[in-house]
Amino acid sequence: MEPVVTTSSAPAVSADLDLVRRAGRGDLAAFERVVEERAERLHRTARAILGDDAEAADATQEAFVSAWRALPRLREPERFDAWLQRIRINGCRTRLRGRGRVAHISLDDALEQRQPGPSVSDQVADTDLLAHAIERLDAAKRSLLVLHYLDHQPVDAIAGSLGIPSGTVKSRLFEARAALSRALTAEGEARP
Amino acid sequence: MSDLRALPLDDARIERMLAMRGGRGLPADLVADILATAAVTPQSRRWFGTSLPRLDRGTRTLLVAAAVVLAIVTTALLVGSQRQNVVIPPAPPIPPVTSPTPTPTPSPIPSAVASTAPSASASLPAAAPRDDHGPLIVYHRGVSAVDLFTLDAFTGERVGMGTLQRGAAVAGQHIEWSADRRAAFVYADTDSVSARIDVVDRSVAALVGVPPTGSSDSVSPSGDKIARLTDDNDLAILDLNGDPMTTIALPDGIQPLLRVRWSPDSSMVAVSSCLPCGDKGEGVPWHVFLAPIDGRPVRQVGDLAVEYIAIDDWSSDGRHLLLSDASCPDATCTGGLLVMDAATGVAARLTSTGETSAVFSPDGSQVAYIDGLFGTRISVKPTDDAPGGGRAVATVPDGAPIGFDDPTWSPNGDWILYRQEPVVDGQQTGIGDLWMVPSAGGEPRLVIKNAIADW
Repeated sequence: MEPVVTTSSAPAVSADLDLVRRAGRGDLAAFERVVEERAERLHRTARAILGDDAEAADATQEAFVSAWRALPRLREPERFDAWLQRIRINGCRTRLRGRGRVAHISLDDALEQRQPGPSVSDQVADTDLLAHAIERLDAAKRSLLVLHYLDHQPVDAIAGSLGIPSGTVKSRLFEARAALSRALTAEGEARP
Repeated sequence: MSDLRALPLDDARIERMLAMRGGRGLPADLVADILATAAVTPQSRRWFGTSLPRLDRGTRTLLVAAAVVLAIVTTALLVGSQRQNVVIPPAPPIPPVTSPTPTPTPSPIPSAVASTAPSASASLPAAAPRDDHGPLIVYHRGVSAVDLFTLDAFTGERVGMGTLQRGAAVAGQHIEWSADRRAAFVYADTDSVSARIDVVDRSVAALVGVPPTGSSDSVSPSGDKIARLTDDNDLAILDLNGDPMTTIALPDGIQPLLRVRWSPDSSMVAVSSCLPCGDKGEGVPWHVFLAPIDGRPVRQVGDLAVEYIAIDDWSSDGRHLLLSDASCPDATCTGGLLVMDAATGVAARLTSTGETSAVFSPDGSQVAYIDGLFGTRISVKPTDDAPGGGRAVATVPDGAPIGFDDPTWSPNGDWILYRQEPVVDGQQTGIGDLWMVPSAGGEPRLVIKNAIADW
């Protein structure tokens, strides 16, 4: 399935740009419209990165409030979404650094939790396995996976919004995929 | 089997699983909370980021003009003064490194086909395994600075090489010796090589002439060349001043993404890539390519037909490559470690359960690697062993949320150094602690906290 290609500055329409400019001049009603357009997407990706509802809500709120505070200093309103994304990603990284890992589940525990046969159980096990595999990734790789595969952002857009070279994005995306692959491979060993 | 399980590890599956993790919908009142907080949060003003009351146009104009004049005067006073944030001087041009020619050690790995050394005109043959332990070269992240020093892992004796200020561009994620151990190189978070440590002079110099790039740099074992993938997917060879020495054209259509590996004699570079590739560098199959830097043709080595190959290591005699591979063609993923004859491309499966981060022992007879579901074991296995599991030498205690990485052999092969992410009161801290364990098995011991190192 081909991902929908979006740019980090979408929706790049004049009405939205006007809302951003007005919000930068202190118009709270305009900022409300800006938030409503983006809150669900930001929260979803924050939750995918952090794996926790409450932390994702906090990270989303912090990102928007930080953006509100600093918005007058944004010289290129067209870059608002990329700028907001960077604030959000940095916030998620800070949260990931400040907390311990999800408790490790040993291979034996994983086997005990799985139910043989039914597809629902396999789905749960698969998602659970992915959840633990993602928890093993560092914040940077985790963010990249979410931005690319969940947010459908192309490599160049991610590179531009995070301020890192496209090559680094590509290599880290692939390393993150390889890490997921290794987790699935190891799980394959445990199957009866 | 569920539909999810039946899918290969492709974009659709990753997206679906991330979407399940991301959930749907917003928590109630999140938008309201955001707006309520914003309503009582002052916005930064455009003048120097301070909060100022709204002024009439005339007053604003006067203030802006005054600010411009002040900025001009301040800049004039600061011209010619030393920058406060220069912590290490730019590196002078690096002279060519010369070193004696040690005798290569024959590989004990049996091979079905006679193999030849990668190059007859080696600039620096592989270093023979040392008899002594040798010091570590350490990048230690202190409270306010990064300290670089050699460390005797047994006596604790340190010899300082230099200090970097925290927050400097040379943030480290990897450090490695040159083959002659007269120098070491720090790699930054951007995967670029960022600093050279002269162990003889006990000095550190930033490689300011080497621009950061999205490609992973690899310094040659000879310590005088950098291999880097270009935006055009070719291989650039630079000197330590960042000046191009040669550019090697790689086969059309490949998109190498991962770190390239120099041969021990610094005569060629191993590259792994898909061919053909999709626009994200994905595709099947992946192959290994060997690129001599002296102008000889680039050649594909072997034909593994797998979805992913990382080149983990070269044996010290240059005759074998250590690869980690992975393929997820259907419901199951397979892969592990392979030992490939560099001359013939013949590869022997060593492990098959997702092992990674593998390194040859100095004499090439064993491999140390990371295994376990989430990197919770360091294992050792003879390179001529039948496919299967190895012998665990370090294991994470049950339930402990930590993992291992970067296994490194001591020069005499008696010990394995590895990094362990520490947990203090459930919190992740620093860049990991370094531990060492006898390669024959035994009790691990802590070497140093908050550090990366090479041995």
